Amino acid sequence: MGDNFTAVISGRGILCGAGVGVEAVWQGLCRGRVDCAPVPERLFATGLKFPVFTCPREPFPAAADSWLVDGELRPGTGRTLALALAATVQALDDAGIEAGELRRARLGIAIGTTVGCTFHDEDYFVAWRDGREPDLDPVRNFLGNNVAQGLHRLLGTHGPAMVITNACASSTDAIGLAANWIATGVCDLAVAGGSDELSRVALNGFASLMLTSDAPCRPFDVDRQGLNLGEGAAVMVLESAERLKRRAKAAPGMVRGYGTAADAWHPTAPHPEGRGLVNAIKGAISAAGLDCVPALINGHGTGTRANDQAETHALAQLFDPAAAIYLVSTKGISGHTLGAAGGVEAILTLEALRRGETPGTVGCHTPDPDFLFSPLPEGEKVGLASRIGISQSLAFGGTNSALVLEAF
Amino acid sequence: MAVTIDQALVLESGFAEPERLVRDLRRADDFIRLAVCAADRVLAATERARPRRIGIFAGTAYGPLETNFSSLATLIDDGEGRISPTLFSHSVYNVAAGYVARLLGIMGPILTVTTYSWPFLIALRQGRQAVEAGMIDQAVVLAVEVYSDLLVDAYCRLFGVSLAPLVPGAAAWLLGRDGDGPRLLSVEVDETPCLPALCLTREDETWQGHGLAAVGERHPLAHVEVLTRGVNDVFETGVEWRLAAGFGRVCIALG
Repeated sequence: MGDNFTAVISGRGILCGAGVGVEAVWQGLCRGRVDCAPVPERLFATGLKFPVFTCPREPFPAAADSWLVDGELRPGTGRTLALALAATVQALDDAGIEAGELRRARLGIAIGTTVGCTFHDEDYFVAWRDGREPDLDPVRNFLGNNVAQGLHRLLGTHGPAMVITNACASSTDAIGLAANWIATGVCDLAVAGGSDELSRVALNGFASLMLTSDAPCRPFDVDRQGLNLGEGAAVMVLESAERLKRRAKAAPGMVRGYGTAADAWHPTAPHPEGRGLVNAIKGAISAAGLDCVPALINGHGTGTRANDQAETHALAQLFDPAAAIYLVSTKGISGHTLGAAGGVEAILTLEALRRGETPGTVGCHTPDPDFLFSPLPEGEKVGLASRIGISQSLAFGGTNSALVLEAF
Repeated sequence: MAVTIDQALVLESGFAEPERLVRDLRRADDFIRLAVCAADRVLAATERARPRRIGIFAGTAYGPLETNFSSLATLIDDGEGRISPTLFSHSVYNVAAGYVARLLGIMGPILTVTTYSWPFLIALRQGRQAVEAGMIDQAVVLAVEVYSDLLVDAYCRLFGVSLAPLVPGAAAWLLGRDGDGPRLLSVEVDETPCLPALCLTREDETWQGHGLAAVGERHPLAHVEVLTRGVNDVFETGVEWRLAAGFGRVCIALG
């Protein structure tokens, strides 16, 4: 990457429990709006009462049907794909790209997900296990809902497609890799980010690992009890500076660098000193060719004991805790959207950099005094000294990824 | 600098786990075990770079599908809040790459991609790009498939056959810089929309080019096996391999 890295962010689309669209989610963050509740019946039945963050019942608005090559969303479109589509058309609108132009371009699609690539039709599974022969539509839908292939099919576009399944770092990786596609000419335009619906298996899985909180999450707080799951999607449109100049379009910012590294430590827990995260951030900074420190770090900040400890430990190895570098987590208003989390957080990082200010971490009332790098707590709002920030993700499997973003 | 394919192997059925990995793999499912053993074998045959200079790039069409269902079964049978933590954590698609990193001491980038078309080749493209860009010195590129009884049953019912040609297995290629193997000049993969069933049958999949042999069955690992044999048989320069199917096309250039 470095000096030749020219992946400009020309459009952004987002929907999560905090709202639909960049402005709505940003306002939710500034107001500290926490809208979570036990899983609504419309998604799935569960006796678990852990609060979650949800998106609108129908994530893809009928008003956006003109984007679809078939004119409407076909039955059997999975919720993760519908969420991704909703974020994508928002981002394309924001970028000022029309459907015809999109279909003529060589479009790269890189989307991160976790739940979105699993077969989780419980009725089918139970019937099959009982020796019956259930209708095969759920299998056809499973095969038809690969998110990147599905977006190409629904939009009538062509070009590289990649679904990244790197657990909770998936969409940070999707954005970084797609930025690299742009920088190396693999495609003209890229749609990159992540999408994930809520699932009963994931909710139960995180509960069994004792990682979920039964109250709104409190990232970086001394009394943090765990995470809240959320559903959502967040997508960026990336293109080269030259292409953007030809279109005479302004852009909110760019991806300056991307780094990723393994902990090589544990299947579900981060390295206690953030070994892989340190290497990922170093890689991103090196790729960006930074000659200054970032003003803002949007941490993974899930609100689990282990994550927040590892993350702050890693940052203390890289940056002066006394410098004007503000660490926040935005999961207090969105929950942990798993494969979409990196995209949601990258978009909010860029918005903060663009506005030159950030609110503190919703849910963090008393920062954990054991942290070597202290977060900005809820209720505070600070100006940012530069327009460069970092958005970072940690994941099961020991993946750590970081993006360096710059606002124009 | 040239990106070279320094090792390429298919893990044959009935493979034996290296003794030193048996204890660490005691809770692992076949998806993890195949990936770890394939990666271990491909790395054993050459001098390794430093841990941070090696990356893992895994491609899979169906991931740890059987473990997904085992995980779901514990939820259904044992009740909410009682899903097995081990099964749940092993049902995440990047679990295999994470195990490879941990057990083989790899600390560079680890990426898992999931698609029904040519996941291995998409992983190969990304691994090649990472070596070429200087991010790493070596890339372990993996293909792993285990399927599940549910998928096999669905295949048979969808297509009216009594046996589904879904063969579990793994393959691993090791990419390096300026090594002795064939130079990997480019990997271009374009996917196009198709009927979902075509992703499963791959009935119109073809591969053409020097050293690529025909195989009888079509399944997600068939082309990986063919290409792996091809890599090990390439002694010429200027080789171009082309793959095509209803879901897209691929062009691989070797120097």
